Amino acid sequence: MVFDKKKIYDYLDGKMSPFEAKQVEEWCRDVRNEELFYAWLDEWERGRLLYSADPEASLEKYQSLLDQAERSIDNVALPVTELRWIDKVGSLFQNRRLWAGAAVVVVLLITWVYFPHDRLLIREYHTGDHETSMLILADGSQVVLNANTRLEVPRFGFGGATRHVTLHGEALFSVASTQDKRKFVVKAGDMAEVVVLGTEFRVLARKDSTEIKLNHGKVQLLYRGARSSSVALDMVPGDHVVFNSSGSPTMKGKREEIAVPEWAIQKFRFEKTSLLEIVRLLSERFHLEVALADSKMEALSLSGTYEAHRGEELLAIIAEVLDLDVRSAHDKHILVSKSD
Amino acid sequence: MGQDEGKISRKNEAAPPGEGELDSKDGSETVMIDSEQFIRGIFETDPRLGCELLFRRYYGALCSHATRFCASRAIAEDLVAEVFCDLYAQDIFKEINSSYRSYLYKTVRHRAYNYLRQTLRRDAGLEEVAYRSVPESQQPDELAHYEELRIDIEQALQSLPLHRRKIYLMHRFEGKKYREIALDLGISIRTVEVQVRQASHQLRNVLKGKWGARGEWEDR
Repeated sequence: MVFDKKKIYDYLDGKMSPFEAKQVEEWCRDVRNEELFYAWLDEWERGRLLYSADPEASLEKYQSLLDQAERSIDNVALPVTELRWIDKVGSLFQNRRLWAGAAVVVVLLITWVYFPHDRLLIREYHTGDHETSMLILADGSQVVLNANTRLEVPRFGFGGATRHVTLHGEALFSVASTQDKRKFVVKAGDMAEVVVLGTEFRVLARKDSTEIKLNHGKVQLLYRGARSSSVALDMVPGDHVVFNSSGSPTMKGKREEIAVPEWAIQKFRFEKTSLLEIVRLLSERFHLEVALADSKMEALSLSGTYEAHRGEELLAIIAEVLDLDVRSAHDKHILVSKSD
Repeated sequence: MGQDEGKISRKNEAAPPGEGELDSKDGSETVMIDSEQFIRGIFETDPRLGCELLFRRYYGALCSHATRFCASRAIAEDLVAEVFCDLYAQDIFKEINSSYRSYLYKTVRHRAYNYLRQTLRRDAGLEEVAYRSVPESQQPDELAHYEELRIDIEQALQSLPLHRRKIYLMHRFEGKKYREIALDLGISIRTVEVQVRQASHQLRNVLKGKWGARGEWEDR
């Protein structure tokens, strides 16, 4: 079936029968028709605007946002009060062969830098009651938000010179290490900042409590000490720091691996799902790029319910079940059969 | 088809600034066949200008379109601005193979759709006027979902009693404060409050069942 502008207008006005509407769907699958659809949608919309946004004012605002964007990209300096060099953290990464190793870590004691709180300069992600959400930030870091949580990420410059986010609520972070070892900083409510490098840790920043739990890797916790000076505390996996309401920290927990909280675990159910589709899922959900060494593998299929909170984890599980190996270099992964 | 497109944009009622206003950088003549060809060329040398030109041309229509999903001008404008910001800041303009027009409409629709569903799921009132980014989730590919949602919203609004609908839209759509509405209509602030809340509640009831639930394309 061919659709002309008049028919598409009928479609947009809701005047088409469901049967015909379905045909419009089919017709739009062809890219050229899809273009026509949007051309006519644009025209349809312009012919019946619900209101007129003030073009000049909006354009000015947009231009100042673009100015901000350009400035952020060039802006590297943060106010620095002290520079400390921390020794080799290569060992951090030995059981995380999926990430590139780090040689030296630079940790800055930072006085907090705020983006002017224009609602468009900060992007807010937010969950309600009984809701969790997973995000992937521009640098590939994965964050799982628990209920009633708000994460603020600067719109511009994130992943560029700095990676700063602010958390109100609870989240599990899996931070991607970057080529030049840019630090990732989480401002936990008002109590503390967590400076990290390629690790997995959990931050709880709610009005009545602030806690940091470290699963893998190493972080440095910065907070205001007794005499308002900044104090830095190094944490290793298993460490769990709790701040009381006056801001003094207590170290809890033995040095054992902390389990991933239940709310951060996602379930994936496969029913004879082909590996090809699973690879697509990994790409779309986790932004994880996985290639198959042999195209015959595409037909391999998987059934069952699997739990994972990170893309790499799910990939490892799939490889195990299908008896394959994962080869990784930087952020590319390949599934190969064991005999190779 | 290229010619057809060109004809379409010139016939528009609320037309974008005429192509004659746009000077090409080196002052040479540019004959437009495809309405976006010129802009595409600009992106090669000056992406920021390219984004501004796209903004000029499409912002208005996109905002209007987005309000069909969000029922709020403020939210729609923030949402559309965000799309344009990301276009520049995240270099998305480099990856667009379709027309900018399709990309922009698609993206705005996706985000508006997502936004609304999140709002319904979060049990948040439909009286809020602040926009919050929603994490990208899997999108339905079918056009039908968008059109259906849009029409459901329209019908849900129509189902409100006239007086309540008017008050609700003054608040939600136009962004007027309770006090302003009370003054304009000569009623008490309390009445406005009650009507807005009832409208929000009614709309949520109508829409939440179908659009607030998890779709089959999402994680189980």
